[in-house]
Amino acid sequence: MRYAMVIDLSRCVGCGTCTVACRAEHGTPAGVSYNKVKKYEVGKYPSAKMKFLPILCMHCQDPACLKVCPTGATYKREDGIVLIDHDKCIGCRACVVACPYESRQFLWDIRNYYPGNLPTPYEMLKQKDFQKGTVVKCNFCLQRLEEGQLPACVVACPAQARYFGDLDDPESEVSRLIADYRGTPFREELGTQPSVYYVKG
Amino acid sequence: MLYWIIIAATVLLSVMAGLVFLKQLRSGLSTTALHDTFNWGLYIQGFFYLSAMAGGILVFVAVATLFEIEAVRRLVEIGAAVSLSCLICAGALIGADLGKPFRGMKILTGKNFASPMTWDFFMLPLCGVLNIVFLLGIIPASGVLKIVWSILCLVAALAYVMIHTLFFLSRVGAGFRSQPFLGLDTLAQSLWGGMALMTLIAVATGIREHNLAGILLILTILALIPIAGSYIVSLTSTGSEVNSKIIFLDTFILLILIATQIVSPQNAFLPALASVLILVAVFLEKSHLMRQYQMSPTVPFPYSQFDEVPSYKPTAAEWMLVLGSLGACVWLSSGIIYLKTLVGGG
Repeated sequence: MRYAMVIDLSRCVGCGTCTVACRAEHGTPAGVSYNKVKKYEVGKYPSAKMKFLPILCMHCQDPACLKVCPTGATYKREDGIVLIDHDKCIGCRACVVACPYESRQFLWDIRNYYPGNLPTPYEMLKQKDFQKGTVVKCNFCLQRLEEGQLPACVVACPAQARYFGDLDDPESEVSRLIADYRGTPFREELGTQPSVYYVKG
Repeated sequence: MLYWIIIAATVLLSVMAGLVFLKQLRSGLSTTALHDTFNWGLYIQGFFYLSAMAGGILVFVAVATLFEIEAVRRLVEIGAAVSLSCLICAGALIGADLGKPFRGMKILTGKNFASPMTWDFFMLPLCGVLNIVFLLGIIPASGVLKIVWSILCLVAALAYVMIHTLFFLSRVGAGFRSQPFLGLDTLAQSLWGGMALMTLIAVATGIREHNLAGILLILTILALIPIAGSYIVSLTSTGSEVNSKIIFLDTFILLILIATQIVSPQNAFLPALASVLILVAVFLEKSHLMRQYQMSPTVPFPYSQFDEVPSYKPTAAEWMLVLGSLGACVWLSSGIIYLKTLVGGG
């Protein structure tokens, strides 16, 4: 079993629903985003186009972040998901510097979404899991996977640009998409072997 | 009198830095100018700087002990004290950077030896212990123990100095300053800075039996080789940048040292001036190293087209802590030497 995500770039419209869904699922403090959508332009006027690249933790099979973590706080499960044990994280930020995908964020502070006001009940409920001075990132919505659900960003995407499944199963949707549409990871040349693939379907 | 003024000033600076440190313990890293795209700043730069100094001096101490160079024996003892102080202050800066310094002890149980930081965590204290052993007078002037101690010092110091080139390895892989001179540059800067500090101490204390300016000249040439190499690479590679101010400063130092050798090898002022400039040059080089890997967005163009270009301007609190650490090196070294004199009766 190796969890993987396929993102169809031809379907992504850059709406940011995945970002919002992720924030809602994890209750991340203000300014913290596990799921970003990079916007960029291609071509020249009058045929210029806006393109989008959703970026999250790539759950690499050979992760640079895991190698540099001095306490073993970053670890990889057998199903390929790379996680952080926040009780072991010392906040050295070596992993943030090492990650070539900007997928990790350090919690400089735990801020709420309405500065000057008390945290909302939802923030109080969710933010107690965050420890200031540690590093956070996407966990492929492990808490949802354990309940048999798909990651929040996959479910929420209105353009159905995201697919999730088992890469080791050749019959899975993700394996089929990668094979049929020649899916490639972002910055494959770095040799980190990401579990997130991009296709232009 | 001047000595006591310097000690008082550095103690005062360190006390103020201590207050900043305590404030930081309470508020975490929110008192710094660090942010999501500039994660490592002046504290890490100070750590790299002080540990490089400590490593360079320890190499000098080890070589002088190994080859039994009696003429610099007194200088070597002072060097061991300065090296130990630099290591302590480098550790304090890392503690400040972590926000909660005692969390660092988790590295002991982590045991991830693929991590450069783990090696740092073990190598730096090892160097500290080796310095203490030397200062306690346990190492004899000759014999097997002296050879073992010297070799251990050389291995430990050179190892952790070289380890510091590995911190940005993944970024080099990702296209940042992918040039082959980084290792040699880090090593040369460490030896250069350490030797400059020893020369400055020799001038200040009147220990000038050896032509330290001559050694400094050789190390300056050694330091310039990787910088020149980096410059050549920067002309052919878009991912590389070399700070022209550093090249200019290094060349100026080289000219001063050449002039010293030609005009007046016994002159004390010019080597002292060159040493001060070298200490500045090494600090600038560490700053350049830090910024080089963080000043551009990690994700390449065009995906980072609309990303803000990260900037970093250290806060007064950060400067205070780093300057306080440098000040602490001065009075701590003096204190250790005083204690050694007191205990040893020398």
